[in-house]
Amino acid sequence: MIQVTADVFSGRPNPTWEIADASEIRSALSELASNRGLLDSRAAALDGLGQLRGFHIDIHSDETAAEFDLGTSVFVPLSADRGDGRLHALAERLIGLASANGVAAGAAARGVQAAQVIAHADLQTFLRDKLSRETGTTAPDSNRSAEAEAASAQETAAVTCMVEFGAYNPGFWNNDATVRTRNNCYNYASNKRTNTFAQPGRGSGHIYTAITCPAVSKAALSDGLHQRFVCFPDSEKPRYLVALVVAPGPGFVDFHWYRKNSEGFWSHKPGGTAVRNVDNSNRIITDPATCNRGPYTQFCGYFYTCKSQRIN
Amino acid sequence: MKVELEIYSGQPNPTWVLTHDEVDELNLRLARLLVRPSAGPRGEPLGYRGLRIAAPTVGESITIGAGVVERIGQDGSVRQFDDAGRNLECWLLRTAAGRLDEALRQLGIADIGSGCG
Repeated sequence: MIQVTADVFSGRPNPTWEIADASEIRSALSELASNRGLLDSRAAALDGLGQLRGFHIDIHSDETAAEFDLGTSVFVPLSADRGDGRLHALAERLIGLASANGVAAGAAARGVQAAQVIAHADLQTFLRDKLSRETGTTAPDSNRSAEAEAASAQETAAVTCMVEFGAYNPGFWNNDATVRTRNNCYNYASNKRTNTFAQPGRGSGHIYTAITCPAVSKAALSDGLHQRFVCFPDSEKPRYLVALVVAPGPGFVDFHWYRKNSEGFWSHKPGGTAVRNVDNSNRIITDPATCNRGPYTQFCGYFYTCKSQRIN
Repeated sequence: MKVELEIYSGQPNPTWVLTHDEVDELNLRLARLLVRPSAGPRGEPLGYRGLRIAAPTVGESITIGAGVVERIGQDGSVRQFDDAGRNLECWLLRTAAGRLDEALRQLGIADIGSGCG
């Protein structure tokens, strides 16, 4: 088991949660180990009041700590994230692991009364909001942008939705063979690891009935995604901008997803292979609508994912 | 032993199973491959990428494509071998005849090119 404490409050006790799932623990510790150069126990004292300063990780087994060559207590300082977003991505993961049971268990372990336990969803929203304020990953996505205006001569109502752009963090998906091979493009675009090779619509019980743009789009919308410019509220953070494409055949029929990152490019995960930010011509992807997609020649459109997305 | 056609992104890849005789021949063919200096990870584009074989020995996986065979150990170690003429890849695709969607099998054969039919 590992215990995570968000270093955010000054007077009140910091929120704490526990992670008991063995595969989640291994995945989190592997990420920590690969970023060990950024871990700095002095950083907590350097940061300001009222900010999310970082996360204390307590590893409850010295054998586990030794396996990953980490101490039994590690601090993840967000101030050490110098623009490549790796610590921000790790922070997103740790917040996402604050499950209902974990929060309650963590609070109980510290003798906190039930009424004082912050609902896990509220805690996640609170911490994600802090994280995005301090790292600037929430951004407007407007249909009045130059490219949208150029694409449509028709006058349309101005719509601006707020979305999140996660940092490009291929290591989380690539370093562990199980994670790499059991998660696909839909998992990666949604930034939700299920280890089930997730299929659009399966999580909501309405899996696609054909592999066409309309059918796969309908299945994804059933899981909770929105078409681009149909905004989600802040309570649905993180809201990622993703794109769907289809290989129409003949002979080869499949679907594929891309996700936009905070660095400005797009990235994707072709099936059980590694995450990358380049297309079939080995060029950085600036727009999935125009990049080299091999046989995935039909561009279906852009969507937003959301926190309550049902994915399996 | 199961062979996976590395081709899809969204859907699970199609697979077929080798017979005992085919597994014996595969092991012979693998043993004859020449080691090559590692040239970094293989390119893995959208569309046909090659073949993957799981667990010939415990925890190991083998990927075959674009003239390179990669043996990835349980500890993550990677050894690369030359698949000269893409002969091993072609032979494996021939074993898939009648056991795999023919249109998909032909995509792999077409990727290898002349001499594999």
